[in-house]
Amino acid sequence: MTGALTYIAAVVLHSIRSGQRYGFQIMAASGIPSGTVYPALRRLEKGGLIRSQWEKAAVARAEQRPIRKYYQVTHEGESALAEAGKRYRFPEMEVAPREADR
Amino acid sequence: MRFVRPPLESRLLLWAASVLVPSALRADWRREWDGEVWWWIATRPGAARTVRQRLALAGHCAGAIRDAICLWFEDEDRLGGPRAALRRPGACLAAGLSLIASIGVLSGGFANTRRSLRAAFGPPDSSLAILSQTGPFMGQRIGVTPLKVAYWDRHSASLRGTAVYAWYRSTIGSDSLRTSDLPAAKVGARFFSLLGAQPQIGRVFSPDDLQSCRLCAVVGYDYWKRLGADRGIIGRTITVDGRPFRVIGVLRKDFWFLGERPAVWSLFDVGMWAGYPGATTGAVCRLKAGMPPGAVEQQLRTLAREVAPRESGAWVTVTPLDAIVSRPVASLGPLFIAFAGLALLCALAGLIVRGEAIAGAFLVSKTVVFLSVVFLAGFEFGGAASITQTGGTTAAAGTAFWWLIVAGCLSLRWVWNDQRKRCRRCLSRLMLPVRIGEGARMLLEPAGTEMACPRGHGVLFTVEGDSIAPRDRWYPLDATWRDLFAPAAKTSL
Repeated sequence: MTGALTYIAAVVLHSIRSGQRYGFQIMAASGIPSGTVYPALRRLEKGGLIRSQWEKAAVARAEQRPIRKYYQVTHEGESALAEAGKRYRFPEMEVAPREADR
Repeated sequence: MRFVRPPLESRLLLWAASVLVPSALRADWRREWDGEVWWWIATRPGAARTVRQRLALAGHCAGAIRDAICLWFEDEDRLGGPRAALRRPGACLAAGLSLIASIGVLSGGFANTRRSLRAAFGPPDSSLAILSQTGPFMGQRIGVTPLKVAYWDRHSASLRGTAVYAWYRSTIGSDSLRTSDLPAAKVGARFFSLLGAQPQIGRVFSPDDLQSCRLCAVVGYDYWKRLGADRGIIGRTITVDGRPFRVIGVLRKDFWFLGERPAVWSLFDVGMWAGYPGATTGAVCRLKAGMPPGAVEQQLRTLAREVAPRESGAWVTVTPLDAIVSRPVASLGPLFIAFAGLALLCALAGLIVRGEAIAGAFLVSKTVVFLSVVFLAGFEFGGAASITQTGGTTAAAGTAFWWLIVAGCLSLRWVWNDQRKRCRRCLSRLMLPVRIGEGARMLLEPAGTEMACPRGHGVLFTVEGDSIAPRDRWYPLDATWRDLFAPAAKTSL
């Protein structure tokens, strides 16, 4: 991804870096609505700042829940986040206890 | 954790959003959003039970629509196809033909053009003629006095009848509509019968109306439509400049006289003009069978001297109506042919010099289509159909004539420029324009633009500094370059 990150993209990246690993968690932690989070995730992935991976279906089945797509920050993402940290002040990531447990 | 099925409205929103998602991504997208909704419900006790909760969930699912729209716009393959198709020569011609069809729909099936063509190529009616006079100053054409017309009508042995007409603007009011500055006409009682006009409903004027129906009016078809096309209009009263008139008929849609389409026609009051002996008006007449206009002119001049001996310089002219109404086609037809001929010459030159037969055929087709757009628009909406010799329409006709010349030149310029910026092989419109050349060297080596064929056939370099003879250089690309243009090439026609 070329150029500086937008604030929304930086917050999404920051929330992944903080341990929020899938869409709903990121949304709940950052407070950004779902219609903004998913396009931002896609752009970040397209730009190589994050990568995604579907979890194994057996894990989800064992926990009786839908399968999740996990996101992870790449090296390029780390650098971009460090750059963005100089320009933006990120919000405190508050993860709901039930979400954090999962 | 127990699976809770989302409510109907949320499922519908997700389904509607998924339609927008490109099919290759749809399964993954749906799986991620199903999980999203599941988590939303699972993390809220009693979710999706109350109306408030259901609305909140629906609002959350609305985010899926936004996400899907983003994906829809990001899908380059989907946009690449139509974009490439729009650059093809067929799209250019289709756009021109669509414009022609739109003009046809808006103008009621090219009404003015058909009328002008009928007048130009239809069976001649040489017995109808316009009476006018050559004025004393610079030989300009002026109307005739109503008194002379009445005298000719009574005494001329070469005329079957005459009728005066005068155009003016008026304020017309009805029960439902009051409109200012509408075209109106005052005509002699035999005007419509001389022209052979038939009414749509009701009747037109007859000589008896001069005695029994002086404040009667015939309504034009267009104005009748504006009033709601009510067939019960006959017998109702309308006001023309504040005076009440009883409607006796509605003219047919195809009635046309010298390009004017008055809203209301009323009777010409010759008595009112008695106090203005020098005032002139238009006059139409029907010649007796076999009478040549020249002989009629001589006779009318003799009679005119009896009415007004002092007007020796006011020579009467008898102009067959055919010669006037064919004027638009006679004037504009050669103009159209000249423009199209120019394109044909260019196409022939290209064929002879470079062997570009298809490019030439495209150039000629494109020229004819877009010139047709300009000329049809001129005839239907620009007043070109009123290009006549008679007074009253001269300003509009002159404007229309010059508009057509300017618009025709501009459309030719656009057609030529469009042709320059097309691929020499597939005729697709070139893309990716890049300005090249250094600003500091522009005086010695003008900057240019480089454009590429969307299917990878070649690159065009145009030098823009040379305004007299622009130099275009076309560099064909071999097949090894095609991968760069894969999305466009894959989806092209």
